[in-house]
Amino acid sequence: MNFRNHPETSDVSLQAMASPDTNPSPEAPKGGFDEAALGDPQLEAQLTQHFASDTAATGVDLSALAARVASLSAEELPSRVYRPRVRRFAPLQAAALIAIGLVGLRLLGPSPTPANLDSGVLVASPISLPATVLADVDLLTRDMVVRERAISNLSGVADFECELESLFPEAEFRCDS
Amino acid sequence: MPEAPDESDFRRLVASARWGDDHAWRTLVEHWTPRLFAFLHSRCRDPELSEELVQDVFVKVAQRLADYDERGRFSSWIMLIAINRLRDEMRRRTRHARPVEHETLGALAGSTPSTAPDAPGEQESRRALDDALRSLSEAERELLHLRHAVGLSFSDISELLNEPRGTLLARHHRVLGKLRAFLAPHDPNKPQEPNATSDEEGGGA
Repeated sequence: MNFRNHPETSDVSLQAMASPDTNPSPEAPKGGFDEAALGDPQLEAQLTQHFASDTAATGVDLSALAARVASLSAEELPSRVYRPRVRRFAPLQAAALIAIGLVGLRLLGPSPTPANLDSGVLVASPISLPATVLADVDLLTRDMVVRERAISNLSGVADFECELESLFPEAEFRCDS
Repeated sequence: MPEAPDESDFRRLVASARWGDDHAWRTLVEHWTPRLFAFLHSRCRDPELSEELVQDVFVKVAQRLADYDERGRFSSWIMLIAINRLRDEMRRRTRHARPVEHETLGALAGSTPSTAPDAPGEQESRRALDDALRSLSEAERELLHLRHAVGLSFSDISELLNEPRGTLLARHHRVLGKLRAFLAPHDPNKPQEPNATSDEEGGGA
């Protein structure tokens, strides 16, 4: 318990309130009341003891509670929550790079067949990508979904949600706008 | 034993915790957990609920740490979160009140016997103090809990309850007088006088 402001002198009448604070504690505001003169050290110590016993009687291990609470609540600290928010653009950048790569491959790839041109319909020829690249894209998408869900309780992500939804409609992002 | 951190320490710890210093956060939690628990338990008399609320309070504090205004006192801030959380929970319980919860709500008024195995004299003295506390108003009990269960300074309490420090000092003084008057007949160290009453009560046969 914090006893730094506990009064140390005996009780006096309410008249003490009108008297100037002749021996102010470090925390006592200037021109304040004489905290010590208004106290009753014995009764106050009894009260502190009473409340402490009351807490002890519950049998709750407060050290264990503190350890549990510290690790659990630490996950909510701004540094933990905002870091993924900053990193969220990394997968987006990667996805954009892959998209540019795909466009590049399409442009450099085999041109449409004469038959297609003759029919007047431009049919995109399928691009065969290595399985490892496809797997990477899949993993990136999944990673983004997980990260998005982790930060979905933050405010100001609506735009981001919409951006994601337009990029990955199959990922079921919650775009409210 | 290391000295308990004060407001400037809290400010430093909060700043560090905000930027991901786990040690600073743990120090804050370890300092405040027993105080919050003591306060919440003294108000709701339910150890499990108190544990749950302590956890909630720290999750809220962590979530709001980025918005914490360092000009205010951390002690008042965290206690305000605790008080609001407790009120919310009590309101929720009142709305969904079931017979089994009446015990908790009734106890909120301050009626719980201690389960601590005390010596007979101590037990009687504890019971007397319990009765005396029960005779106080809600605001008076809250002041005593904040001051003596949590260990807040009057400046902290003043900021927390938004009341002048002098008003709180006067109320505290008055409450101590009431307790003295209530406890006087139970005090084994004082010789019993037939007409003995507290000076505050100004009584006499």
